[in-house]
Order: sequence, then C-alpha cells, then structure tokens
Amino acid sequence: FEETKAQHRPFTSMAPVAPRSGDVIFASVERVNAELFTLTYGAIVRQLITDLEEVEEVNKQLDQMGYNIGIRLIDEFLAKSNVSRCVDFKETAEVIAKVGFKMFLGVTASVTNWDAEGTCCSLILEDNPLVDFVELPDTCQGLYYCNILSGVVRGALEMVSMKTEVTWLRDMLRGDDAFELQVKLLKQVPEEYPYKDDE
Amino acid sequence: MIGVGKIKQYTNVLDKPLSKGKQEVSLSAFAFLFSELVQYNQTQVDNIAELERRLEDAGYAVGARVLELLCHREKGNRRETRLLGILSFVHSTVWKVLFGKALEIGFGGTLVKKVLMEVSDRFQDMKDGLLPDAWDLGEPTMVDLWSCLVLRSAVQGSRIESLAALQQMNLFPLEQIKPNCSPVADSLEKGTEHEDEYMISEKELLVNRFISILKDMGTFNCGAFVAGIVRGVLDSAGFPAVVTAHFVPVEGQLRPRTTILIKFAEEVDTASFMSDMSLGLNALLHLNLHAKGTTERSKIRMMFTQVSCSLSLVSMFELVPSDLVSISSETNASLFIYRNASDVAYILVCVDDIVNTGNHNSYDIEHISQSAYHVVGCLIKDVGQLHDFLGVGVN
Repeated sequence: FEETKAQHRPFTSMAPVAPRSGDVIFASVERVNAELFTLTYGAIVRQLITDLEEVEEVNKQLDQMGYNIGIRLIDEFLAKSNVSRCVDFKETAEVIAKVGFKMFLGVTASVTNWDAEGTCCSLILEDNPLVDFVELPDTCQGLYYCNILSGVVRGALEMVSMKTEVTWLRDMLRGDDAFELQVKLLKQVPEEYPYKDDE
Repeated sequence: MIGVGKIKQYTNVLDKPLSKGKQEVSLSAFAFLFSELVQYNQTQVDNIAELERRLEDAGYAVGARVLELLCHREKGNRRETRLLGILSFVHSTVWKVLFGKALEIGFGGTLVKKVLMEVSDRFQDMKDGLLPDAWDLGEPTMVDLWSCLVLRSAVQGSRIESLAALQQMNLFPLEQIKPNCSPVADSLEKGTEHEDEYMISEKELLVNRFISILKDMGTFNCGAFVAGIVRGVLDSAGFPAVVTAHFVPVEGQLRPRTTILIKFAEEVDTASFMSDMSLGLNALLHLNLHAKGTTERSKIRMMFTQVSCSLSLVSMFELVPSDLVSISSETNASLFIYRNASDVAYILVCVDDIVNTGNHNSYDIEHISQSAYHVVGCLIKDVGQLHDFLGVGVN
C-alpha cells in the first residue's frame, strides 16, 4: 500500500506523511466564531428566499452554491489533511465524516446504513452549526435549509472522480431527531488527462 | 463511539438553551460561504452601488440579531442609551465576539480639537507650580500625550501600570495633529469636519482577507457587509446611522487599511459624547491637585481610577453628571445624582474616593465596586461611615 501511494505521487520527494486526524487539523487552522458563520448563512438563505420565492428554486440554488464551494474546498482538504488515496467508497465516507466535517465545521459526523454493495451510506450529523437559532416558518416547509452541505459533498467528490447523488433523509428543522445525509455513489469516473500521450 | 440517545426535541427554537458562544468553525468555511454570498449577489445586480447595498442589507440582518444575542448573553439585557456606551459596545464586545479582536476607534476632528483646547487651557492655568517635574515634556507633546491618554482611556477603559508602559504607547507629536485629524492609536487617518462621524479602523477586515477587487470595480469594498452589521447593531439599539466601509491607503503597506465610517443621524445626541470625554479631563484636574508628594506610578493609577470610576458610573448606571458642584468649568463632573420617583442617590467621585449617600441604599457600594472592577479591575473597598473627606470632618 505504501508503494502504490508513492507511485501515485510522482512529485513527492520526501517520505509520505501520515494522514492527520480531524481534531489536529481543526486545532491548527484559523477559526472564527460559529455564530458569525451561522448568521451569515441565515442572511444568505433569507436573501435567496426573498429573491427566488419558490422553495424548490431556493433548494436548487443552495445546492449549486454548495457545489461551487465543494469544488474548491476539496483542494484545501487534500492539502491540509494529507489523506492517502482511499481504497474504496467506505473509506471515503469515513474520511469525509471524521476529517472533512471536523476540519471545516468543527463537528464530526458518523457513517451508518451501508447498503449491500457498499455504494450508499448515510452521514449523520448530531450537531450542526448552520442551524443554531433557526426555525422554519410555515411558508417554507419544503425548504432544505442545509442544502448547501449536500452541494459541498457532491462537488468535492466530483473533483476526485466520483459522481454521487446526495439527498437529505432526515432534517432536524422538520422535526426529525438528527440530520441524515444520504450519499450514493453513482459511478467512478476514471481520471482523464487533458493531453494526449503522443503530443 | 458513545451510545447515542435520542436528543431532546424542542418544539420551539426559543426554548433551546442558549450556547455560550464558544463554538468555532474554520476560517475557510466562513470564507467560502462569504464568497458565495458575494458571487450570488453579483449575478443579481447591474452596478457596484447596488451590490454594496445588497451586501449591506445582508449584514444589517446579522447586526440586528447580533445585538439581541449579545445584549442577552454578555450584558444581562442592559440597553445602552449613551453614544459612548454603544460605540464601546460595537468596537469591543461586538468585534471581539464576531471577529476575535478589539479595535481602535477614532473621533471626528472638531470634537477632538475642542477637547485638546480645553486641556491646553487647563494646563496654562495650572502650569506654574502644580505640574510635576517629570511630566514637563514640553508643551505641545504634553497636551498631545494627555489628551490621547484621556481619550483612549475614556473609551477603552484601559489601565496603564507604569510610566514605562506609557512611554511605549505609540503617540505621535502634535505637529502631526492638525485641527481636522483624529489621534487614533496606531494610524493617522484623514479626519473629518463633522462631529457626528466616528471611524472604526482595522488593518484588514476578516471578510476581505481572501478577496481581491477587480480594478474596474472601483471603490467597491466587501466590507459593506461589515458596515451593514454595524448599522444593524446601531439601528436596533436606537442610534440610527449611515455606515460605510472605505479603503484607506497607508504608506509603506501594500494592502490598504479598511475604515468603517459611522455617521449618526441628526436625532442622535452626539453632544453627550463631549461630556463623557470631559470626565476624563476632570481626572486631569484632580490629579494635578493631588499630585504633590506621590510617586509617578500612583499618580497614573489615581488618574485612571478617577476616569474609570466616573465612566463606569456613567455607563453602568446612566447617572447624569451634575454641575451643582463644579470648579467653574464645563468639563468638571464629580457629583452624580440619580433621581427617580422615590429614590435619590448622590455619588461624589474624587480621584480615588467615592462618597455615596441617598435614601434606600439605591446604589450601594457593592454594586458599584463590582462594576468598577469589571470595567477597570480596580477594587473599591467600603470603609463604612464617612468621618472625614479631603481634610474636612464630617458628622
């Protein structure tokens, strides 16, 4: 396993570094008050609802914003966490839950409900900094308030060659007891190099 | 993993216990989120002014909520009614909670000029024989030093432990203070003519850290979001203002500083601010009267005790300085009178002594001492019944 790691990293001149745990990384990055984060996200959702008016449109826009974040977030994640290439999707999910969520949001998720083939699982979030102080009014009952998170996961995984579908199964703002995000691997896209070998 | 039980469900979000506010997320998470906010708004507008306005509106909502949250959590539901109080709240509490650090604050030029002139007049009167030799640093610098100290301590409630610490403070000579400039702690900013304008200045706003502005966007500043937060706080506290964010280029630095300019609406009483400043001057007078025969260290301490106690009384209890007892100056304020339907209390502050009297023990010393400790860290001891004061016997 160590050899394959070295082969996949043609530019490493030093010995491969051990992956860092989520807590360690979170302690080493710069942090801001979660309340500023929560309130800013609330302002964004409010602006979207005012502009778009349709709850479905807002859901889609949040997912799109999350996707834009995810495709850039993955670079920072890989740079800071030193994780090696994941062997299978199970490991990917564990890494997202334990390292990814921790280093950006300061909370860990847990991974459950694996299906038989190992391509579909649920990430459970007990604690979610996005939803402090939030209550959904009756007019917005169809809103997935945290939909930005599903976009982030989808975008990040797409950049590492995994096409996924991410949906919410449980939502605390709708009365459930936790946040459950279902991540389903659709297909693995082999990496394409932009230049042909003979040029 | 520890067994997970069912989390208690709260039907109403208001029933949930309020967190202590110590939870954090990574800076990059916030930066990503903020960039999406800006990018989304860019698609919704045609011009820069509207973009700034939308960012400000987003910030306004945040500011209103921040005020509620912090008033409840940090200040025990006290409402600020004085300008000094709300400005201190914004630049210390709000900034510290949201962005993790405290800031410098500057004042409009003519206000400072008034204060400076008053100080220099006072010193003219008392110069002969009363100024301790150690302080004789030359007239212009002296005025500058004291006024800066007074202003700064008055707003920030800071304490100076020794003369050495004082000398290390970065105060610049009077030549650089023109009538329309404001002596802000570590940066010279272009001052303003207006008394009702205040500036909060920061080297780099948190929200701007990962943002670079295109040249063709002119003077656009994402700090408009922060300006919106400040406006939200001030507006919801009852001090309507127009708040804007500007880039101020600084010599020798690649990236410009950001200044948040607060211009209060006409109905806000900015004159009361002057009397708050004058409390600091009062300390000066008392200090000089009592200065003989004591060491420098205790002189400084006495001065700041006076300022801080006076300010703490004003800001904590909203006591109004009375001019019943005064040394024929509009800047002296030693006697505080509190009056409501049934209670009256008189508090006389003199350097480091406080005399308190009234009916019903409306403002007992316990309460005052705790607040003074909170503001300046000085302890006030209750020495019981008054026997003599300033050499005059009392019975």
